Amino acid sequence: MQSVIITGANTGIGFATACRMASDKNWHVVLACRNPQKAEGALKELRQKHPGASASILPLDLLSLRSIRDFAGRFEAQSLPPLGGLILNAGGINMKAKSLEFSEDGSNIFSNHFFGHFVLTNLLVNQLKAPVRIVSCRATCMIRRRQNGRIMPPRYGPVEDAAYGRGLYAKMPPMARYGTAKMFAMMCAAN
Amino acid sequence: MVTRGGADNPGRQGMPYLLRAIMMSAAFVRFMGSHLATEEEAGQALGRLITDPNFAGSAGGTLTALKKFLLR
Repeated sequence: MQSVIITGANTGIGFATACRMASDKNWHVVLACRNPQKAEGALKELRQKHPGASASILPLDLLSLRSIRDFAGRFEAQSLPPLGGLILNAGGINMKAKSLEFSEDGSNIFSNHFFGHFVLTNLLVNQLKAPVRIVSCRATCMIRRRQNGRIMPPRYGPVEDAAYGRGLYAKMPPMARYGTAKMFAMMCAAN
Repeated sequence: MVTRGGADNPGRQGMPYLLRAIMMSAAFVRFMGSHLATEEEAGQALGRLITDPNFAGSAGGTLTALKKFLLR
């Protein structure tokens, strides 16, 4: 048996994927979710759909670097089956923010779609045991320029500026932020 | 600079109601063209990316769920 971590597994595609993996007896499913109450509800529903499924919850807030480090530490401390799969699914848009936003420990909105997953993967890489697969879920919004490019055009600039919310990235409309974060994530996955 | 994040971050629920309603409307989804499968179909597809031996060599690639899983 191997473990698979699914970020944002309490709802939507993440939950559907968790159900799919839970139906396979060869996998232990780790629901990596920000909201513990929603995660508990999702785990309960998952166990109703798949009685006997091997699944557990680990709290993870991709907007907090501290939470990401804690998650990696907790995963290592638990005696779970070796990590064989990572599904980077979590994401969202905060429409209220006017520009790049920083959380209490310095990470910004790019954490949600790109940087958080990037850090998480790097922290877990030593715990991955072959055969391993890492799946990064991204949107095609930054590619379809004829339609969506007018609404959420990604901005190409130094990644340091994106990380610190300066220069080209100092002020961005929400959908452009979304498209840019997705673009970074896709470029990272492709490389 | 806006300070947000952590446990109090509203995530998707933090979006204004009207905007959420627009984004979830069938017309908007058709226009954006991104939601081409149901959540269950997408979940099945993602699960297969992990478990199906046919995708063992798909490293570094960008896959389109619709073409790879639903239309074949």
